[in-house]
Amino acid sequence: MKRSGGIVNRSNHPAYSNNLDQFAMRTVTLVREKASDPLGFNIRGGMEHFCGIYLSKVTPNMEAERLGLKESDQILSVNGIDFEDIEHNKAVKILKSNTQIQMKVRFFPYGYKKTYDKVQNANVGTPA
Amino acid sequence: MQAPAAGQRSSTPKARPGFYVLFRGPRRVSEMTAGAGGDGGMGGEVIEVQILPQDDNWGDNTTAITGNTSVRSESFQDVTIIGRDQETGVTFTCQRYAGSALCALVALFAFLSPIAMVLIPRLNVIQLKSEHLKCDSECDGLLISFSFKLLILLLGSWALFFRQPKATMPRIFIFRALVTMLIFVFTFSYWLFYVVRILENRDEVRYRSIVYFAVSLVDALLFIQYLAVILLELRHLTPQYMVKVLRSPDGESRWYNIGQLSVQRAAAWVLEKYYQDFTIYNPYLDRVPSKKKPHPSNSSFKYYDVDGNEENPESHTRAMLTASARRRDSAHNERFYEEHEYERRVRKRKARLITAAEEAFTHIKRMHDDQGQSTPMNPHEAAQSIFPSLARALQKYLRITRQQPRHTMDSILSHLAICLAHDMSPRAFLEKYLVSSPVMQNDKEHRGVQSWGLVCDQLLSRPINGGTIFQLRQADVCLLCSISHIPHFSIAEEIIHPKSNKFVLRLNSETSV
Repeated sequence: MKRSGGIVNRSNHPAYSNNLDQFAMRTVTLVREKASDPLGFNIRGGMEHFCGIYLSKVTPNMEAERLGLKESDQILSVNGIDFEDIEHNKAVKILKSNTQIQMKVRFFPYGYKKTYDKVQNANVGTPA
Repeated sequence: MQAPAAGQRSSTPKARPGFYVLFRGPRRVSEMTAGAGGDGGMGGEVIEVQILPQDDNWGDNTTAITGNTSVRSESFQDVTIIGRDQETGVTFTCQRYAGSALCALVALFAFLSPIAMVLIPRLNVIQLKSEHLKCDSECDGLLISFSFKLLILLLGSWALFFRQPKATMPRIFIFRALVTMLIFVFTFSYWLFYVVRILENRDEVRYRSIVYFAVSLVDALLFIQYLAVILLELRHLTPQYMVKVLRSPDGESRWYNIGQLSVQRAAAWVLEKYYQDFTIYNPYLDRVPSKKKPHPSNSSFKYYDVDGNEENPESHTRAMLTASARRRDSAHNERFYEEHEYERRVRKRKARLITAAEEAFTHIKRMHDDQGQSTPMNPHEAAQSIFPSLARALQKYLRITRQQPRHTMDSILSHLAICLAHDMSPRAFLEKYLVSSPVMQNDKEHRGVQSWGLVCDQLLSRPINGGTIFQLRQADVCLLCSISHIPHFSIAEEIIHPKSNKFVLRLNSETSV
């Protein structure tokens, strides 16, 4: 029963959407002529930071943006190579070396926000 | 003269109003309306108050209550008071020194026996042929080592054992009794052998063998002394347990590391630490002194529901619960604010006291030879001359910290005289009144004997163990000591490979691809 005074029911809120399609994994294929052409996005993260590879900036008016890549997308794999536990440099090398890139990405803003968290200390000593 | 029987009190009540109030229990509405016939209709909470007549002429005809039945008899109370005055009686002094005296006697007997054994042949007590008494070089060497060993034994015993006993303990001190018994058994058996072997076979015995015999007794005594040092002095030095000492009326507690001791020795050890570490217990500071009188509305009235059978029980109890909870909260608040206020006042008076003392000390200067202006005074007169200027501030400070029973004016003056004589600063003089830290700071504790009562579940001469709890009592101070094991530390080596001692910069940077 709706109480008077301002608490809107969840389903009536304008931002409510139970459509989870935006979080599903999608495949994006990028082709470029030369390996030195920029792909059009920045990546962030890596195994040394205990997180996956995320897109942090997508250059506007480029192919990548038109294909639907956006900030907070996590790259799950590139050309079949798993990108969930890969070092940053290796990921960059793989992305830069191929001219045809088939990426599996998913929109994952939670993980992307975690890449901005403060650094935790590495564990020292063994617990009792 | 006939004294009235003990326990009776005669009084005649007068109708003067006093301060007693009586709260009646809960009553039904019907009872109230039955007689009065009117006001039963008022619902809610009612308090009934009745003033009892107070007995104001108690001074005229009351009888003192004692255990006496006549003027000439003694009562049981007096007997217990006599028994309690233990600290100065002759029996107490006997008891205090009895154990040590016995051990000292046995030790003296043991010390003198080798000397006696060596001297008896020489003194012609027993008749030995003179050529048997010849002492060649080997025998001389033995005699020299014998005397030196005796000297070392004497010096060692003097260094370790010649002192006042620290505590009079209720049960026997087992290790000391053990050592004493060992000494006695050794000495006795040596004398036995001496008498049987040497005095019986006078013809074949040589003086050299007598000296050998005495030297072996001295060796045995030295080894017993070594054992005594280990048992009595060294064994309890390595800490094996932790003892928590908790003082009852004010809740102060300390933790100590203690070695392996019997319960009574551990109690003596704890008392040593108590007099050194704990603050002085001030019974007048149990309740934070507050300025204002207790507010009459703060006293906890009980609310009795006279009209209870018509109200909704849940809502009414809830109202009562919140009312009582609010009263409890305000009691906590009061405590907090009172303590805060008290600390502020103490700090204010302390600041005034320090200022007054500093000012007073500037009036006195050490007289040098060339100054001849005012009459020279000795430290005591100097103390008396500057005391009035700081007396008031000091008295106010002592009063607010409830210390004035502890310091008499004579003690303050003598302390001031000592400080002046040794060029102490005003703050150093005031330390005695500002810091109440070790119990020995209190002059009244400087008695010769302090008696404490020891309460424990297990036998007092048994060693302490984890989980042992014993209690020490004196007047209104009560120390609860609980023992726990020091945990066994398992230390394992962890190797950090030097190659893994490298560091990388972990900037979470972005790379444009």
